[in-house]
Amino acid sequence: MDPESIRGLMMRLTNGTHAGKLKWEETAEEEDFRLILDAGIIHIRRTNQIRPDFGKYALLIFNKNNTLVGRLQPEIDPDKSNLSRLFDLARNSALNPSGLLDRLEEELKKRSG
Amino acid sequence: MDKSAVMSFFDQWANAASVVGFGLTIIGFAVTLITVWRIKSYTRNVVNTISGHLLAVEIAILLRLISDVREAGREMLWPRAIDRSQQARLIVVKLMGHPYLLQKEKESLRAMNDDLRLVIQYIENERMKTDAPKENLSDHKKRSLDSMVTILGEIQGRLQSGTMEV
Repeated sequence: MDPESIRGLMMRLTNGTHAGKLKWEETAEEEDFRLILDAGIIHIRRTNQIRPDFGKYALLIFNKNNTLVGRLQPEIDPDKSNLSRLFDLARNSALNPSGLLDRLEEELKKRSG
Repeated sequence: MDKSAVMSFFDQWANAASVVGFGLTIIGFAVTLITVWRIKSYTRNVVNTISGHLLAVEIAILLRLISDVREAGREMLWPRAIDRSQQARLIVVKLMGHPYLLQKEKESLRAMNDDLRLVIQYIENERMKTDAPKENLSDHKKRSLDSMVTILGEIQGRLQSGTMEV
């Protein structure tokens, strides 16, 4: 797969996730999030979990049969920082820590009156 | 009865008999159509019921296989864990488009297929190496397998309550 096309896809994913239009989910792998689309599945992962600052990011594209058809694993900026931003957005979308806090607070308010 | 009397009878009743005959034909045709529709509908119900039962059986097998992966992980029997995961994937792929499953359940099965792939890769890369640690699956993998069991249990519960309604 052409790296330019993957870059284009990465930008669309970033915009869509930032706008809340794309919902990522957790996977069986730590620091790996998945977006399921009709045409295939996209994974974004960070490899170094112990030192996130030194982490490497990868965007993996699978077709409907779960075959890897494209990969972007940039070592240098701006691709690396763009992918790092997408990773943070995907992580927030999947885990939604602030949303969970809001819902917990709301429920506590309801219960305690 | 002479010939003219017969002809006179035909002349008098022919039209009425034709109209009555035509009416009976229409009614007969309608009755036939209704019967065919009822047989078709009954057959469809039987096929759907059998299909639902078969799906419930496949889900039960899947539950057993995923539980086996967890157990194999506890006992560190990695070839068995991989074998059960592969078998589970084959069933998951087969069921992903099943018409009896809800859209949400189909999506869960797609995610399950992807997660099983990750579990297999993890076992091959992290647990089957010669210098691999002698320990169970990682907590994240265990949680993922447990969540598969929950999803499958929910599907099974829905199918069972559907069968009881029938």
